[in-house]
Amino acid sequence: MDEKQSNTNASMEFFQPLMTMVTQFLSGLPGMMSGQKMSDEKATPEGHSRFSPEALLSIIKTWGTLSSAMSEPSAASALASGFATLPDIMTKFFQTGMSGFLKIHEQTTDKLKDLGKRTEAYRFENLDQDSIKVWSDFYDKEIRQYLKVPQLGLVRVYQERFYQTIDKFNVFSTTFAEFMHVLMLPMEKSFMVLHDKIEEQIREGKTPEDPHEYYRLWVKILEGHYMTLFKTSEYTKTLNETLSSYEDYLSARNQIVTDALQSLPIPTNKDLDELYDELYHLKKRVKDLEKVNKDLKKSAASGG
Amino acid sequence: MEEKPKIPVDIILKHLAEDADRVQDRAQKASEVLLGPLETAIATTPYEVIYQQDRVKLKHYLPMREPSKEITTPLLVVYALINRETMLDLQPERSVVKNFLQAGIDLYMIDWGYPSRKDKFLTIDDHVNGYMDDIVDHISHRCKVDKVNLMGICMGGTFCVIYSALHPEKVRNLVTTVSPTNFDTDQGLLHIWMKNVDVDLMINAFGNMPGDIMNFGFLLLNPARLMIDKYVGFMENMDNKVFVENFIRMEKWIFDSPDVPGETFRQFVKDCYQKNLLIQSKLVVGDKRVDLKKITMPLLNIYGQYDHLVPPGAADKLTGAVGSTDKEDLCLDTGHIGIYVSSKTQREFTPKIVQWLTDRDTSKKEMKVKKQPVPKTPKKAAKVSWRNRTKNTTRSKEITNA
Repeated sequence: MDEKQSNTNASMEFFQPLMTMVTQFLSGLPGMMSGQKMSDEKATPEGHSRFSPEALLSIIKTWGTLSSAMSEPSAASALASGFATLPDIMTKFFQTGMSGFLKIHEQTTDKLKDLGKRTEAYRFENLDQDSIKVWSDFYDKEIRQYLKVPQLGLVRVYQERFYQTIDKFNVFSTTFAEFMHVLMLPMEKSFMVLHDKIEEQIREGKTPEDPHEYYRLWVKILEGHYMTLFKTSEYTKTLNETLSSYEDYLSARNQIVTDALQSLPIPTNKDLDELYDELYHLKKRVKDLEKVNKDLKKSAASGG
Repeated sequence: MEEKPKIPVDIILKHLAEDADRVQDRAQKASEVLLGPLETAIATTPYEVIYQQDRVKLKHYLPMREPSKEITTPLLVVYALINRETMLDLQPERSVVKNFLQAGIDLYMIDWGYPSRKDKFLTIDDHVNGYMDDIVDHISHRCKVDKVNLMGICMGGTFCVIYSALHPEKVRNLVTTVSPTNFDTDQGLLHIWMKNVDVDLMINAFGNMPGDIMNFGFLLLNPARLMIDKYVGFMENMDNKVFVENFIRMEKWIFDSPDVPGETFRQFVKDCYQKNLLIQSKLVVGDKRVDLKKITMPLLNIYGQYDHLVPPGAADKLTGAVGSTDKEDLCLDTGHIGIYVSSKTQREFTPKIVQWLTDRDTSKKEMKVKKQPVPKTPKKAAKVSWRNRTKNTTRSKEITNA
């Protein structure tokens, strides 16, 4: 408590003369500005200035009032105590980032502990994707919400779409990493099974003399693992999630490209699609009419 | 007595040393092969484009001999919208096209072209009742025939089935090859994966279904073989000029993947893969229901025992669902592409189709019928409804008046 108090006093000693100086400077500015106004009027015969001097003076006065209020010992004390909490804010800010990092680190360490454990061949239930899941959870809880903050103002729609594209890209990157991880699992498992097989062959004294045999054996094991993996519902789910997230990202990206193109004198995909759709239906109608016409001509020729 | 080592390290090392020599020698020769002139052109059999509508072209292959007196009905081959029809003419000595021409068949083939964004609204109806129907009419008019023989490949076969059900009066004989018609099967990974795909999201995002994405999906069906072993095989044989040429031809074909029009893909996935409507005669194309019982022309249904894209379970239900009495299943000992390009099946695939068509050529039959006295009471048609799912089925020749 004492330490905090002494910190506040030290801040005040530094802060008070500074605020007084700023107040004096700002209160002198209006006078300087009226001199400036004169010279500006001389420079521009029409009497127009880029900034309204009245508005500028009003802003400076407001700042002057504010800074003089802030140079009061009580306000300065409040501001100083605010500064004193800055380290706390910063610590909290870094804590959020660090907790995510530590979580990932913890999972990686856990995984390293499992390195010695054996993976079961031809089994892909409960796929171990913890490290990717941690990132995905962290992204969902800590980052995603910032991209979903409602946007305000004239360009809010475009900003929202832009953030949405970033979000979709991040989701796609995560699901793609997950998919690649799953796709690599048979590799990992096939080497383990190959190792077992070779051990077995050694025990039985049946080791192949031709080195190509080892390759052929490995490819066969790998193929078997892939076939088993591909039939699991986990794989199908991961594949579908990857595809869907890619398609979501593409749609969002196309939307912002369309937004950007709208300001240029060239047609967007949306414009062309509308045109193609119209053309498609017109062609169908023409074809149908041609058929009717042909039938009419036929029946007329046959006297019907 | 010296104990035999458990791992023959010495022999393995000896083999490796020999291999190293071979690899060096191979690399030397491979550089000569790869840097030298290579014959890698595909689809070299001469043809002319006799009809075009939008991006869709009709190829007519120039005859290689005098027209067959056995098969006078023109044959229209309908390829899938996925990949290209060039697969049927991949290399001169393994060309289904050439084999048909050598048999004297008047051969036509649809080239679906490369759909662009403009084509994203085209549906199955536009392909079957639009392009295909116009092409059949064009051939009929050109050849002065009222019917054509129809042969479909993969998705093209599915289109042919739909077409034959909607326009039976225009099809003399129907041949379906590796054509999916029953989608409710767990035999193929594609059938499992497609059931859960959000096709609406997909088409809304892509417009048309990108060929490259589909190709990536096909590679994922067997990454060990298609992404690793295949190229290891190439490395091991890259000093062999003929092997390299054929390998590159295949690579050219595999990765030449047009996009599939979005609406067609959407309907194919939803109505076929997810709802399995076709085999139940519930599929609606345009505003017409595709009733398979209306397929009354002779049907030959060929599929591959080891097909990972259209497994037997996806193809062999068709003959049981159609209205034809003359129908046959033929299961070949091969995979989806091998059926057209493997040297082994080349010896049985095309000859079988040629013979089957020959047996059913109406004009020949009509000539025979004219020579015979017309019976007072019409003889009942021999019922030849059977299915043979054993490998390399051969059909007995006892069918007449089918």
